[in-house]
Amino acid sequence: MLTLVIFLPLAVAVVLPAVPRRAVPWTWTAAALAEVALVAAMWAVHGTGGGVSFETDARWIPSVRAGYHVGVDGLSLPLLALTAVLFAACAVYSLRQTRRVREFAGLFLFLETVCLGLFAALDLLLFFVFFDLSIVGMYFVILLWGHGDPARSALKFFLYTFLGSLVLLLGFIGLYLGADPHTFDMVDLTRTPPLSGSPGLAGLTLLAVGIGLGIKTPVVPFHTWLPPAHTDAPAAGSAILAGVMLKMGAYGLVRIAMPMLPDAWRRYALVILIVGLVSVLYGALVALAQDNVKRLVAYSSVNHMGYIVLALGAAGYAAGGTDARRLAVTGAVTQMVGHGLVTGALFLLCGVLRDRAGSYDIGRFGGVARGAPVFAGLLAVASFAALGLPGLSGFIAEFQIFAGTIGAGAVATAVTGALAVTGILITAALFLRVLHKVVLGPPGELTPLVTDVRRPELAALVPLLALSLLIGVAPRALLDTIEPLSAAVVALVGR
Amino acid sequence: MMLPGWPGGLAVDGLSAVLLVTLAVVLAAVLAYSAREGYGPRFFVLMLLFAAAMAVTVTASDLLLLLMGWEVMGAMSYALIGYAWPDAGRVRAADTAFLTTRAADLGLYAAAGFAVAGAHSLGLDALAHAEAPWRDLIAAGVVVSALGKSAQLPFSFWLSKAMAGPSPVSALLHSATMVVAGAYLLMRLHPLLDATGWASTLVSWAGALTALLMGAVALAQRDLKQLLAASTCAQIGFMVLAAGAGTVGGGTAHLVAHAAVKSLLFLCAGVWLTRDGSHRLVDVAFGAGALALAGVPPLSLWVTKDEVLAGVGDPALLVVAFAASVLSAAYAGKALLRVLRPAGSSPVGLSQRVPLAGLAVAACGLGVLGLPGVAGEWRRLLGATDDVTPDVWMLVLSGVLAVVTVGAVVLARRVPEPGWALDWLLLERAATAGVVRPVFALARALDRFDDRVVDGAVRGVARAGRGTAALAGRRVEIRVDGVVSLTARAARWLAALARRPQTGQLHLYYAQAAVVLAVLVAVAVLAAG
Amino acid sequence: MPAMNENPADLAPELCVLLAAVLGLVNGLFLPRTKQWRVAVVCAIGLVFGLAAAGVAASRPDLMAFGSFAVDPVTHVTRIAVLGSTLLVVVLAAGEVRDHPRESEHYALILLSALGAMVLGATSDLLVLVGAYLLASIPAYALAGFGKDAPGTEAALKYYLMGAFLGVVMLAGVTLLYGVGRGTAYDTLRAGLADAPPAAMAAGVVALLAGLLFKAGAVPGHFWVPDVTEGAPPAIAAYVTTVPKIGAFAALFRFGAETAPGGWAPLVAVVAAATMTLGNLAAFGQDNVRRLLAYSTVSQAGYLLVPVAMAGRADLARPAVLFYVAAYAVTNVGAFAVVLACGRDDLAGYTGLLRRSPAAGLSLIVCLLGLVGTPPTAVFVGKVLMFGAALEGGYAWLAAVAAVNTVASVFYYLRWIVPLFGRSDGRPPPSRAPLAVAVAAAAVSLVLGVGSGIALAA
Repeated sequence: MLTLVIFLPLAVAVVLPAVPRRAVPWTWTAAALAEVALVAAMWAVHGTGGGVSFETDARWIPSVRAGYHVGVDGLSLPLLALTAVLFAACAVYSLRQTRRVREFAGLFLFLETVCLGLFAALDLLLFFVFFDLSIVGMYFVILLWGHGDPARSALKFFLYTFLGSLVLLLGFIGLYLGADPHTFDMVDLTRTPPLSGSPGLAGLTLLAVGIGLGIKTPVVPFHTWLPPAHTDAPAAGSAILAGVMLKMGAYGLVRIAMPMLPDAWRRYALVILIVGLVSVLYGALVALAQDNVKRLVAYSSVNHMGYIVLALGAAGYAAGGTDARRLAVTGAVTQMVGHGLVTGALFLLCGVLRDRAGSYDIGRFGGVARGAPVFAGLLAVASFAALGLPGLSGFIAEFQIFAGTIGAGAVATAVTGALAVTGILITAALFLRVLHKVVLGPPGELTPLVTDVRRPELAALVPLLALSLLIGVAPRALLDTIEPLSAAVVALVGR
Repeated sequence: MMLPGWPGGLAVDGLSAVLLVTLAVVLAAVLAYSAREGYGPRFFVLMLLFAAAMAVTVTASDLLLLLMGWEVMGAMSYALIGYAWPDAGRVRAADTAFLTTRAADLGLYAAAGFAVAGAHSLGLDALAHAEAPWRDLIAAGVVVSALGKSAQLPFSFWLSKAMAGPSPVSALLHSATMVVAGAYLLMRLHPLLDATGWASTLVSWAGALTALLMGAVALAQRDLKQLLAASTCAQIGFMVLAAGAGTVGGGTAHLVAHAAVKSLLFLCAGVWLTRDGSHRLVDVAFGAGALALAGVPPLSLWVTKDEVLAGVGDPALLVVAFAASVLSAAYAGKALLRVLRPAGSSPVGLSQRVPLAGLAVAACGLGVLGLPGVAGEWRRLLGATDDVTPDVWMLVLSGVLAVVTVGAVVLARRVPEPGWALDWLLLERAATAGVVRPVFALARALDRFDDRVVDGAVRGVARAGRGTAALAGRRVEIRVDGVVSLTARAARWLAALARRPQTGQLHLYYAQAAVVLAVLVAVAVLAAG
Repeated sequence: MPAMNENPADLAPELCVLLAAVLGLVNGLFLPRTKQWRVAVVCAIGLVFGLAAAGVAASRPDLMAFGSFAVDPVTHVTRIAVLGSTLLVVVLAAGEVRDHPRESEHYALILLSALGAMVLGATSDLLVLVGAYLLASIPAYALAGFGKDAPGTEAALKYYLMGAFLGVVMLAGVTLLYGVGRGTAYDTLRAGLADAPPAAMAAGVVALLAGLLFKAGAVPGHFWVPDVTEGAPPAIAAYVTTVPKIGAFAALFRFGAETAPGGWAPLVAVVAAATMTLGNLAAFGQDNVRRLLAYSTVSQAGYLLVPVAMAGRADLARPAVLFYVAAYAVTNVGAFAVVLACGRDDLAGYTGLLRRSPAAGLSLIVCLLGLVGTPPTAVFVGKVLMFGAALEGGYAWLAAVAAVNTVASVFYYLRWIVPLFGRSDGRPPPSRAPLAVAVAAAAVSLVLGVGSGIALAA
């Protein structure tokens, strides 16, 4: 079942050349929606219990104990669902796409398989395969459908994240060699953490894994590939890049770094906290200075992902209360989902702006609410979701992160957490600035060009924001799924 | 229960019930008034959400739900203040209001974290029992948030900005929602404030000083709405003082009575602002409201304010509070002068006359809460049985002061207008100069830093690693600023160097191969030895 | 110690190749010029039989034939990789030398050189190693100059002179090692070198390396690679950058693992680091795809030397070397096949290839991304094993150098990939046979990557 879910998009991509041109977008959309249904079904079957469902473990490279080992649990299910939903939104959004539709759809279906596979992988090598392929796939998306200076941005993206992936690979090999017997299997590695006897090596391995995942997340100062990549990527590409692919880094921290290197994680928890805090404040402040709305959203992603790193760092303070650290981890996972939905929506909205007026410069718009009220409303909701308004997904995640981080009980977590709280004020300022300059106020020079959202765009955006609202108002369905997992992670880190 | 494992929810007790009823009545009055003013559906949706958020705030029994209502209320106030969005000035005012209150809200976020650490619970009841250092931190966070929401010093300036919204919004925002939420929270959490020792004193002084200084500000205002706004700060100051002093019954009574008075005054002001002339009923209602605001006996605020003052033990505080109370009579008198000006007449519909009349009656009559029989019931309802009944001398003194002051103002037809208070104590300018500008400057500096140093350092590291450096070098795709062109030159040089041995001349190949082999022998000898 | 015997059947794959070469030559004498293509068929059949025999041999237990010919996994992989790549090269060459006056000799030379490469990888005796070196080299010199044009002749001459020089050095090294190690068989040497004087042993090892590094195209024996790759006919370029390397790396690994000379790991590690870095840096500016590929093969040789350096130190070294070399062979041949199919040497000639011929474009992308080490291609698994071997052997710095070099290499491979997506300018479609080879190579690369478990288990 899970294998079917993972490889269905790829199978559709393979038969796509045989589909008549006009049916391509619809085939893509149908496949993406089928994925949503399948993932929802898996979620329903898994319920809110702990443990791994839909596990498949096939031998792949037995001589190094790497296998095709996949399964879903409370951490992967929300992210699989997010992936399926965002890809479906992108498919719907791109129904009007005219440039190289077949290749575009094929590449996105390929990427969907890659992303789903990554979140389901329970083997380090398999994880890495998908991790690397995501870079290749996104490179071509930016290169071929980007605008501005796509070749340069795509190259920078490729080189930077590829370097990260190789460092990550070295870290994985470190884990492999540290395990006894040598294995790439995540379940085995989690059960008996490798390198527990040699703190120095464990620290180095954590450094490699941390840098590899940190570049992808991205954390300051490894974030400079992100703004150009986003600015020049097509809207759907940005949505996937920010919505799904940035999560790979944070997901890897929860899935790999924390449970497999618990000692090192605890020892360097302060470093992780500080990296998270710097990402939060730095990302928010730099975003505040941007006039290009896509760059602005990109930097705000650095800020939002910083909260996750902060919370995960706090989870390394074993001295504090377990309940607080569970709150932090649950918040971090919730933030992954919430950020994916909201930032995906924001990038699609940026795409609408560019589609109409060919610019991202917020100084050239204004008063868009008159000519495009629905667009304005959606942008307002998405902005408020991004700045953490209660009732939308960002708040519930950030509240848990702050409460968990500060509540972990150590002086360091309390201080960093309290400082990180100021991030939401800066975020509020910058999104109000966007609303002020684009949606409200007197009309700007490009305002007459901005017509309201079209039906496919609306159909793509509304579900994303509706889900954000659902998570904000009734978070229990999501939180109950995550909770057993975060309890397990906290216990694993604490041992 | 929003979070698994963290009990909480909505619950109604006496205090919540009183606030809910107040909210419902004022909301009904304001919406009835607004029905004829030609607002679109967006207005009513936002107003209802605004009120709903307040309802959640006052019924929440844990910090999460409280904060949810609290923040949504702030966002709705943003949307309502900026209701006329094509006007950049109003949008800016809305920005200011939202950001100021949110800055204060950070205290509640932090307090929630401290509560998790110190009380292992988010429940409001548990906060007073938190362990020692955490309890003080929780109290600090809560106090900051409450002062911000209630536009107390030093956050008062946002309320001046909030006047950019339509009058019905002001009527609701200044009476039964938003600004009173802070006072409510402090009253709800006064056990926590008491437990810390310092927090209740701090809150008392913050309230008293706000009442005094904002009273002066109100006195200095020439614009009626600005005057009323400053007076709101000052009146909420009495409620905050009550919370600090632990006089929950009196504070709540003051809150309810003030809600009736202030919504009445704003609705009347709205009539004047949107029409050429006035209406007899409006003038009468406004006059009654202004007299109530002044604390003229036997109207409502006279009784409730004295209930608050009765609980104040510290004589210095009491002096300040009495001074503030004189100021309130003065600015109310100044507002009253507005009614005495001759004006044309304009029709006011039934749906507006009814709410105005109702509110006017409430504004005058809510003093019954202080009547001996009623007061006991009231305190029992609120669980504030240890409240003190005001002494007769206090009632008489404050009544006399109010009457004399109002009389003097009306007779003199002018009041002293302290110039230093005209611009709201320059609070906004101070915030702009002290916080907003530095933050923006920092943001721009960091942006440049990010472009030049962080991104540059990435390429600098790349330069150090020869291979990566060469990437940026070759002409094709990368074409960027200074650091990169330097990198590029270095890389081109390296790449040329790497190709240089490839001369095509065989004897050179031989020579080089021989040299390399010799080096390798040396390496091998060293390694083997 | 595997069992000793002198059963010729253990050398069946080698004999198949030899037989095919001889039959081809004889056949060629009697066939008219236009029918000479039948020789190619004969040779291909010989190679296929050889592959089959190698496959059968791989399922048998290890043994030692004729006292100097090890039949073990290293040999099996060398045989299969050499035979498979040679088969692809023969197909590539068939189109190129069609109706050439000396077509049959061409095939025979390829087969003989391949035979040399196989023996090179299988032998565990220095004297046989020298013989195999000469057998692998001499036909290749002739092949490089087969076109008889100016660049080809120059390439052949350089190739020959470099090979002769380093071959002599290698002979000297063998002599020296014989002197200090009191034998030429590896197991004798292992004991003999343990207490040999370090300086003499070091000189001998380095001198021996000189020859093998020449075959492997690694520093300092890499000078011929770009010249020959550019000057020789493309099929031969594919051949000399692929097949002899397989033998050379197998021989290097075997020598390192079985004789364990002191200082082997740091020595080869330095060579590896220098080779990969030099190859990469030189590849950056190339606009000629054949030179670009030439330098890319140099850098790949550097990665391949990493597990060679770890021979005997890391359990992962052997699978790494074997898997990587096989993966590299098929991927490299694939890339050359696309060059041959398109018939263009400049980067600009590849603009819009993906539109013109999706099969060629996709094959090239798979092969180039494969050379980068992108999953799920075969080289990816090889690289993972290579990194693993380096870390396991305690050479984290070498792994880091390899990682940085890998990232660097992305740059020039992408320079080739990006134009593929451009607009097509209506050039003729690529020729069929090389295209088929390219597609097959790309497919094998993918299959080998995904199914690497089966390959590694065998």
